Amino acid sequence: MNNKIVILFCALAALLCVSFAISLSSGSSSMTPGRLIAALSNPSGTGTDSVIIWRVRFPRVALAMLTGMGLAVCGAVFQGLLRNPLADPYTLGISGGAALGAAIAIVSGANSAGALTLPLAAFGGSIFSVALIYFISSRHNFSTHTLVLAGVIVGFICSSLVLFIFAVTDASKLQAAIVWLMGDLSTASSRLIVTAGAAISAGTALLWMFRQQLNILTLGDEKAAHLGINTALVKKIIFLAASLITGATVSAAGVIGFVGLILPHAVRRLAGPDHRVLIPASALAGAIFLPLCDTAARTLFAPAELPVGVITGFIGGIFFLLLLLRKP
Amino acid sequence: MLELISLTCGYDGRKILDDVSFKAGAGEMIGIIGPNGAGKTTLFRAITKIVKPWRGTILIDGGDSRQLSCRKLAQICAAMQQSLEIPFPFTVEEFVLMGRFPHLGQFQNPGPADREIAAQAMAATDTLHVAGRPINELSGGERQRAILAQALCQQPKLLLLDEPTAHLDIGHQVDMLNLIKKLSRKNNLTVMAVLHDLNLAGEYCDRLIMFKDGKIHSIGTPEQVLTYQNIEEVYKTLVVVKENPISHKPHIFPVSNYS
Amino acid sequence: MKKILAILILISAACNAGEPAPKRIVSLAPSITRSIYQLEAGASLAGVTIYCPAQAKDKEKIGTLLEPNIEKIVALRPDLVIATKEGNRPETVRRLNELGIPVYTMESFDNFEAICNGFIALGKRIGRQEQANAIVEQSRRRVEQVRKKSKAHRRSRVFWQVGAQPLFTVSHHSFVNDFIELAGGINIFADLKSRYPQVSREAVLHADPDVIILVAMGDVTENEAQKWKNFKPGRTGKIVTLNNTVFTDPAPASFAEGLEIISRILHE
Repeated sequence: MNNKIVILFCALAALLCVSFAISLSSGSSSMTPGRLIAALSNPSGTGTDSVIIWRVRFPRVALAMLTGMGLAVCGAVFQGLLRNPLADPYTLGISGGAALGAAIAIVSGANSAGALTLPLAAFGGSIFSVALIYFISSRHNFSTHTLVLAGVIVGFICSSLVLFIFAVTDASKLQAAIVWLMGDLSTASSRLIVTAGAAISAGTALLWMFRQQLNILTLGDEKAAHLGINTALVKKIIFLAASLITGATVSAAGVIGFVGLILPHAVRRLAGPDHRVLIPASALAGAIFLPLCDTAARTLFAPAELPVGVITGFIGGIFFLLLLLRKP
Repeated sequence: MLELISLTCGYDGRKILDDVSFKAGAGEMIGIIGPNGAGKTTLFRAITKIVKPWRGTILIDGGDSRQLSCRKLAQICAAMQQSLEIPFPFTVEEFVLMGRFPHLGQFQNPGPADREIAAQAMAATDTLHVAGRPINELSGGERQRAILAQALCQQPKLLLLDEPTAHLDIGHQVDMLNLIKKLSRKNNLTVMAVLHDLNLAGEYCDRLIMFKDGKIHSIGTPEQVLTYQNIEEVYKTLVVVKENPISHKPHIFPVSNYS
Repeated sequence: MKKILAILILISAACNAGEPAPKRIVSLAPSITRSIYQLEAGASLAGVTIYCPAQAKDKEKIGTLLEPNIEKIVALRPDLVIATKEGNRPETVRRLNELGIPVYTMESFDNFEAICNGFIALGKRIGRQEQANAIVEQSRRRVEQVRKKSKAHRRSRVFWQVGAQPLFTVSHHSFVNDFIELAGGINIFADLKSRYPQVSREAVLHADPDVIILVAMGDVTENEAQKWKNFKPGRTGKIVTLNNTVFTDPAPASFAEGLEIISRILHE
């Protein structure tokens, strides 16, 4: 492995620690360094400081890291799979299905039934849209063209169904649904984190195993077949793994945009398009970036909390503006 | 090395190739010529199993191609498409190394031996000096050679080239074909090249197959195939055929008519 | 005899003690904050939302109804958090429960009686049962007076508007309906299914109400009143714009006050 890559990973690891430390130490309650350190070294303590750090902030930061990782990895993989550097985890309409599932759960009141009802409903919705896309694409040999078309259509159908539900619902429930849609990391419970984390980690590991195939698939279906890849099968596996991760992140944290778009883009510029490096580097970048965005979201206008999607959207917009202004 | 027996195939009910049969031996360089839409690209797609034949058999290295898995086929046969879109900035070396994939296990990393083979392929195609550069920064000629290097990395016995000289100026065209011919001779590689330039086809190929409307019109040495009668029948245009003063291969002169 | 009396008083006091009155309450909705002040328990309020009324100006703010800052709430070390079923999210309540903080959730109220019962229950929970009972007593008397008065008048047909784009009204599932019914009016949309149903302007014009009441909030402004006048120029009947929080506050005293206002409108 060449030196540039080694340096990159060391830097990312260091940034991860920094991001974790900052996120854990930031919040609407300010603590003196002394109290902070005391609380940090006492994870099972029952004092207010320990509870705030370990039972309020830590689950949220952990969820943000896992979600960021999942979104960045999926963004990188979808960009490769769809051969388009502007693709992101939501290009294929998976978030639409999840939003539909969530909207139904919130509006029907089923949400009050249990802590995992809403995430499960959202996940169910994402499975619905994934299944639809899979079915449509299978009939056309899973060509990239069909995949994108199917994804966009399914996304639109789900979005319009969500809007329909909004149109006929009480205003109060509507607001709760909108909060979820804008990205919400505050419901981090340990069961949710473990479940989502398992799905995200397993999916990421599987995708990394297919790193060489991903590289070759960027050259197109025909070239990939020439190089001995069973394109339909491999694309199906990759699609399902990436969709699983995306479904898990959206179910756990709502729709958080731009992370899956900008981070793989930026990482590819620094580390190159080889998925062997791109996937782990994107995972780290996501785990660094999202907790910091969430920290900003919950401290900028404390005690009010901004939806994290607002921060990622803002940064994403600036990023792309700079990108456009640089290249002629 | 390659034998087609009564191959018939097409897309969506439309027949493109009709009862095509021919043999290609090891180390032969065969030119596939014919007007646009005559079925040349489809021929390659049938051999590389992108398109399934309706009728007929394809024998590659003695075995029925239907029995070959995607991977096994890629170990024997390499193909260069007319155009290849490369959306991400892989380095030339990374790109060429992908050619080793058919010989690796599904999840096996390329090793030093593979890197050596890639280096040799790049040396043979004169792309070693750009090995570390991103492939989308290369000039047209260098890019074509890099794509050829990737194909060579597969260590194929059969090489299919679909218009390998498209978008190249005459200097690069000649360089490319010189290179291919040399490799064919040196490695006993069977080459089938779709060429739109009849003169280049006649200059470099051992045999030519001329297609018309999905059928083989004529097959044989360049002298046998490139006659003004054949060209008039197939391309529907008047030409005069003379000899290239250096190589004595047939050379075609167009007859313009704009009065 | 005195001894037995003393013992009886002690026993009844012990029975009524129940949970000790909370000393640090966090309110997750302005309506709850208002009720707490009415119950003279404002001093026990440790935290309120950023929307809370003027009286709570100097209290610690814990964020919005939909996204309260959990960390802030925990830092205030409350012994009770009070939420509403309608304004707050179940996720918030669950999260607080997970962190071991007791949460008391106020249900949504269908009518005046439910409001009274809910208020008494709240009073009990925060140790202000006497005050709650007193306020409810007084409110019930005021409401009863209005009801008696209204019997002498003919029943007006009323359209109650709470949203402009699109039009939202109330059905009998909301306590707001009681403002109309107890003042002797008829809510033209009482029988619709959802609590705050959406209706078309056409439907309203077709029903031809005697009185249109506009509750000013959000996108319902003076423009709406003008719009209705334009639709039926020269029509008989009143169009009234109300600009008072009592009409959206689910508490007994506010309800009584609001009802008195409505009664005046309908019977003048």
